[in-house]
Amino acid sequence: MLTLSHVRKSFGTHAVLKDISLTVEAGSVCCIIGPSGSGKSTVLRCINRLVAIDSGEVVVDGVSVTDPSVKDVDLRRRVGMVFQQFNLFPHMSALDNVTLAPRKVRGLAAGDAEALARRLLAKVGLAEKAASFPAQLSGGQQQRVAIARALAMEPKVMLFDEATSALDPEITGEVLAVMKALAAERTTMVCVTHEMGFAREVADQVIFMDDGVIVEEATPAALFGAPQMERTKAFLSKVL
Amino acid sequence: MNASFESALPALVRGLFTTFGVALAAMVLAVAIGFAAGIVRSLVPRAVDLPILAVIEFARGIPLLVLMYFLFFGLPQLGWRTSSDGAAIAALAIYAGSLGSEIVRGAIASIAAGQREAAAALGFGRLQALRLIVLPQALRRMLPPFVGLFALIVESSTLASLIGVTELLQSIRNNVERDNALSLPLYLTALAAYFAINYPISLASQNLEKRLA
Repeated sequence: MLTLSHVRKSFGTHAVLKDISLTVEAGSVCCIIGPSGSGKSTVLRCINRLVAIDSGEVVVDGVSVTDPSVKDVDLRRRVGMVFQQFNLFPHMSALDNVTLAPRKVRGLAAGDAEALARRLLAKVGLAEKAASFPAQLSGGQQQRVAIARALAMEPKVMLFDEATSALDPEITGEVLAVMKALAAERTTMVCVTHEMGFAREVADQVIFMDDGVIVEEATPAALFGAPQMERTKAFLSKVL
Repeated sequence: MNASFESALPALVRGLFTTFGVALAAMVLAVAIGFAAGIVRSLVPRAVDLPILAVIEFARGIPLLVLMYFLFFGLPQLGWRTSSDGAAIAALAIYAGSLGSEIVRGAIASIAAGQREAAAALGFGRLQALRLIVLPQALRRMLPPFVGLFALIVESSTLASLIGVTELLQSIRNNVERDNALSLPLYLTALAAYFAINYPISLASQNLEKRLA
C-alpha cells in the first residue's frame, strides 16, 4: 500500500531524513516513535508531498509521490492527514469543515457530501455537534472532527501526526478510541505518536526513529519487549 | 462685502459632499488596489514580489501632496490632462492603495500556516485554499485597518484643496476670503466637521478590532 525507498531530505545543510525505507501493508497500522527532532513528522509529510524529498521514492497505492506528472490533488485524495494542532477551519461549522473538501475537491453534490459528513461525525461520536464551530468544541472534539474531515476524502492511507500531543491527558482517550476503531476496521494508518500504550496495543509494526534514520523496526511485542538496539533501549527506558 | 455664516452653509454642505465623494471614490479604488496587490504578493515567489514591493514602497514614500501636484500639474505636459477631482482621487487611491496592499498581505500572512497545510493535505489547490479557507479568515482581520484607512483618506483629502478641488476645507476658505470676520466660526466648523466624520469611523474601527479579535 505504501512504500518509502531510500528517502533523503535535508532542510538547508541539516539532513532530516537519511535513507529511510519503509513498507506499510494495506490494512495495517504502523506507529513511528522516537525523540523530538528525529524526523518522524517529516516522514509523514513526505508521504503526501507536503514536503518534497531530495532523493529516493515514495509510492502510495500505486501512485508515485516523486513522479512530477502526478498532480498534488490526485495524491492527496489518497492520503488523509490529522495534525497535532487539529487545524480545523475556524470560520466553518464542524459539518462544513467535513463537507468542504468532498464538495470542492472530490466534486460531490452538496446533499451527498452532507450525508457523508453526518455519517462520519456520528462515527467519531459528534453527530450532535455538526452545527458547532471549532471554538465551541473541546480539543478532543476538535481532533475528532479533524479525523472525520480527513476520512471524508475516503483516503487509502491515514496519517496521524502526534494527534493527541496537544490534548490534556484525560481527553487523549477519546481520540485514541476513534483511532483504535479505525484500526479495527483495517484502515491503513501511519501514526507518529508518543502514546506507547496505543502503539503497543494497536500497531502491527513499530518503527523507532532517531536522528533521521530508522534505528529499529519490529512488531510491538518485539520492540517494546526485547529491543535490540542500545538507542532504542535508552529511549524506551525514559518514556515507559 | 459681508456675508453671514448662514449664507455660507449651502457652500459648506456642497464641500462636505465633495469631500465624501472624493474620499469614497479613493477608498473604493484603494480597496481594489490593495486586494489586487496584496493577493498577488502573497501568491508569487519572492523574485516577482520584490518589484511590486518597490512600487509600493515608492508610493508610500512620497508625500501625498507631491503626488497630487505631479498628477495635476506634471502629467498634462505629457498630454494627459487630469481634472482636479480626478487627480485628487487618483493620488489618494495610489497612496491609500499602497497602504491597503500591506493590510491585505499582512492579514493573509497572519493566518496560521497550519490552515494552509490542512487545506493542502485535503487536496485544495493554492488558489482554492486562498479563496475558501484563508481569505474568509483574513477578511475579518482586514476590516478594522481598512476602516481606519478610510479615516486617513478623509483627513488627507483636505490636500485636494491645493489643486483646486472645492471640498469642505476649500469651501470654508472661500467663505473666509469673502469675509475675514467669519474666520473663527468657519474654521471651528471645519474642526467640528472633520472630527464628527472621523471620530465615529475611528470608534468603529476600534470596536471592530475588539469584536473580531
